[in-house]
Amino acid sequence: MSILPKRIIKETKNLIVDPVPGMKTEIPDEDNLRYLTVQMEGPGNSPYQGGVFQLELYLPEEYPMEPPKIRFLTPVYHPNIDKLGRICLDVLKDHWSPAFQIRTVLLSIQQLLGTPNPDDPLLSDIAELCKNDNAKYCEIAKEWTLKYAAEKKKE
Amino acid sequence: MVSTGTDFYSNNNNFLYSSDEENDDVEIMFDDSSDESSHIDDTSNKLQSFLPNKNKLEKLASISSFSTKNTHVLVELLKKDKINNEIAVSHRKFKNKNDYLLFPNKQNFINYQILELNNLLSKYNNELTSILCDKPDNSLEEYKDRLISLLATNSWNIFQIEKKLINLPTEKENREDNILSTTGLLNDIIIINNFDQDALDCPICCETITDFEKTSFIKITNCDDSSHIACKDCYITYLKSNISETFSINCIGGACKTKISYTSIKKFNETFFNNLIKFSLLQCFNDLNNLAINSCPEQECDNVILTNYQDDSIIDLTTTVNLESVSCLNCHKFCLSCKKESHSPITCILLKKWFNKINEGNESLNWVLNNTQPCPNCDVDIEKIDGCNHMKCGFCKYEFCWICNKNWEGHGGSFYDCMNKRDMDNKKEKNMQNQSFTRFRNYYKFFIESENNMLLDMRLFNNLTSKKLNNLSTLFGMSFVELEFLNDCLRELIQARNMIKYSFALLYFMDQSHNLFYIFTHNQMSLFSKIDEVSELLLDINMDSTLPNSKRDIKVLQMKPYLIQATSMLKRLQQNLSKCGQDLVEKKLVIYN
Amino acid sequence: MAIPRSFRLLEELEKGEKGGSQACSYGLTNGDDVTMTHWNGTILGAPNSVHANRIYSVEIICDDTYPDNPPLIKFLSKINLQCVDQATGDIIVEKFSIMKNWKRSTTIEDCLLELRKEMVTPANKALPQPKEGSTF
Repeated sequence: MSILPKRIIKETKNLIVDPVPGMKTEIPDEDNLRYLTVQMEGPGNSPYQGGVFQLELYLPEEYPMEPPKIRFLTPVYHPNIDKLGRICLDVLKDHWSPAFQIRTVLLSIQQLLGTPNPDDPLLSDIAELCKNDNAKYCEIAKEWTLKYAAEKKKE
Repeated sequence: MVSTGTDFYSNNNNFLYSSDEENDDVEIMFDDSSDESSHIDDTSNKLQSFLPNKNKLEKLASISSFSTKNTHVLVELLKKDKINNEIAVSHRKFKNKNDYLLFPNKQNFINYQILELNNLLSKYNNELTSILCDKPDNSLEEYKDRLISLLATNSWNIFQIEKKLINLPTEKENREDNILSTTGLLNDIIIINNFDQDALDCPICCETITDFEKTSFIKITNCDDSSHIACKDCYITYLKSNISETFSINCIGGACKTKISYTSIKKFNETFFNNLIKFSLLQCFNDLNNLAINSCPEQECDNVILTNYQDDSIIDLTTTVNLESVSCLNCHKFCLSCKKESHSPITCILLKKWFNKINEGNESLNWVLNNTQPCPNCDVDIEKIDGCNHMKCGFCKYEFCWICNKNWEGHGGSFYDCMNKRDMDNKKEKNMQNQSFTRFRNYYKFFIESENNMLLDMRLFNNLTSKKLNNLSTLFGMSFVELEFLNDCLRELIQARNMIKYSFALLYFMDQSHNLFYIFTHNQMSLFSKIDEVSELLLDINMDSTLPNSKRDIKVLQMKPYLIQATSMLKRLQQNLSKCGQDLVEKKLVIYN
Repeated sequence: MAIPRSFRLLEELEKGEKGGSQACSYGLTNGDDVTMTHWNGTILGAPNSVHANRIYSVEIICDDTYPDNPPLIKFLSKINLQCVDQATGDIIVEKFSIMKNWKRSTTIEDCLLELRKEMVTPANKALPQPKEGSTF
């Protein structure tokens, strides 16, 4: 087993000891400290409010030179999140900087939930709805949140 | 004062020549001929013969050493530098829209840009030149690097740089920094190895560093955020992981947009620097919207072509028919808009459709690619090895047409007639559903045949030019310039064949019931018969084994007036066909898709 | 601390979506299968053989143990190869070295390309092939 870089140890420890508000990070597998799971509360004033979303995160070999790999496990109705939970977010792609941290990324994702970016969509049909009939979009997103991300679901 | 693009370029001659010289136009330096259409085939050879002009350079250099202004010493050094020689072979200067500056390779292009930029800076903004080379420890090399980075961060576009300079705020305060940051020259990498604290954590790898002598930190000058630092190892890894995919690198700090200067990256690691330059050039050349700077799309060809188009002249590819084709110094002619082989008279859009069509139907069309055909008289397999369709069986001496397999008699000197008939015959007998494919297949066959003819001609011409020109020049003591007519003619012939090839692709899409279609085919036929005529004649010269070599050579010379006339004829016929094609497209006679 | 199954499969999917290799293609059978278990793929017949210009469909199952264990691959199109069970179309792992000597770094694409190579091995080249387009 390769030695875990100090940076990763420090960051993960920090996430557990001093969690990001509204998020709970866990290491499900003690043998793989690069793999984390996160429970993220949907941001207030958004159709995702009240939901708790499961994410999984992997810190690749090149981290922090490469961004962490992260996806939603809970289905989310959102123009920038696809059916497999993959997230379209600039800091996870070309805007990544090694100075960013897991914490930064998680906050960005939470923010993305609250403020979708339909102009750079992963799913064009949701983006269209989001732009043209926002009420309808919010309604479906709420429905999904209730159906898949209700608190009691994770026991 | 803002100078327009054209002025800008014409002014530059003053830089390259000392001011007392009168040089009205055309050549930048060394090039002896004012013949605009002349191409330089053997650059080094030519360069040798131009060497007498070298005194111009020396004169220039001697003037420069008397320059009193400290800031200009480097500028003058740059003039004396060998890069002047390197760009000497670039030829032709912008006069109007259709003129190009040609460079035999990327290095020459870069050097030329450096000189141009240097000229712009010293002319337009003396202050900037002084900023760029004011520091006493600046070497010529470093000054050059700064100019290169300025170009690389601005799409190698001098106009763009000029625009930025014009828009600079005028207040004195921070002006120097302003200029430097606008031009991307600010923000050097600095290495820090003394801190107030005894220990410091690298924000990237989180290792605690105590021995700053052993492990130093790196920061970017002018980045105000003191937390945007990293230990040397992390910074190098960061640079390395970014350098292969970009030509500008930001400070390591989170969303920090401070760009690291090229020059400091070079000091850091020369390979990184070269990669950045390479990538920046690549980006610039690959940009289809950038018509100003073009790299020859031909594989393994390193030529660069500058045009008079500036970034704001946007060309609508869907409607433009009057396509600009340019030739690089190796005579690779290509379309400026789509950067593919020159394809007049067909438009870029239709061409794309045509190639899609070919890919779709590739399998069923394999037979067309077959190069041999049995003699219609005696069944001997015949391979077509030259460009003309007038075939003569080597076995039974039967003369026939390659396209229709019928006796050559009655073809009126061209196989065009049979092409027309065949197309119509096919239309009659096939039902509607089959018609489109049959139609495509026919035009595709003509297309492929034309291409083969072109390739065969090229082979023949390589033969002709390399052998013949040598013979002639030794026999009659003629210079290559005097024999240029043969080259010109051959080149024109190839281009005409190329145009014929693409005219078939265009015809496929067109409504053949329209009168213009008929006019177009008529024009096509005229060009075709001229090509056949010239091609057959040149073939004769090459093949006629009854004549001794010297006699054949004389024959070439005797034909000089004819060939010169034929060349201009071919040129005109091509123009006609191209114009007619333009009409066809503009009248929206595209009916097949 | 190797890459977990899900991110590994996402990587492979991305490569497949981008086009991957010219000679084969693969993707999820069902685009919203979050578990990424069921895949389908196609292999273009090896050139210079009876398989040239044929297209073979395969079904791939990556269970929970992938990539620690090889995926299950099954031919849908009929093909006669030594490593293919002629009754079901399943790959016989024992007879297919890349899966027999499985490495964690081996990908679905590697398997498909290896199957393509199998088509032209001397042992397989002599085998008679079923009619094009028939299925198991």
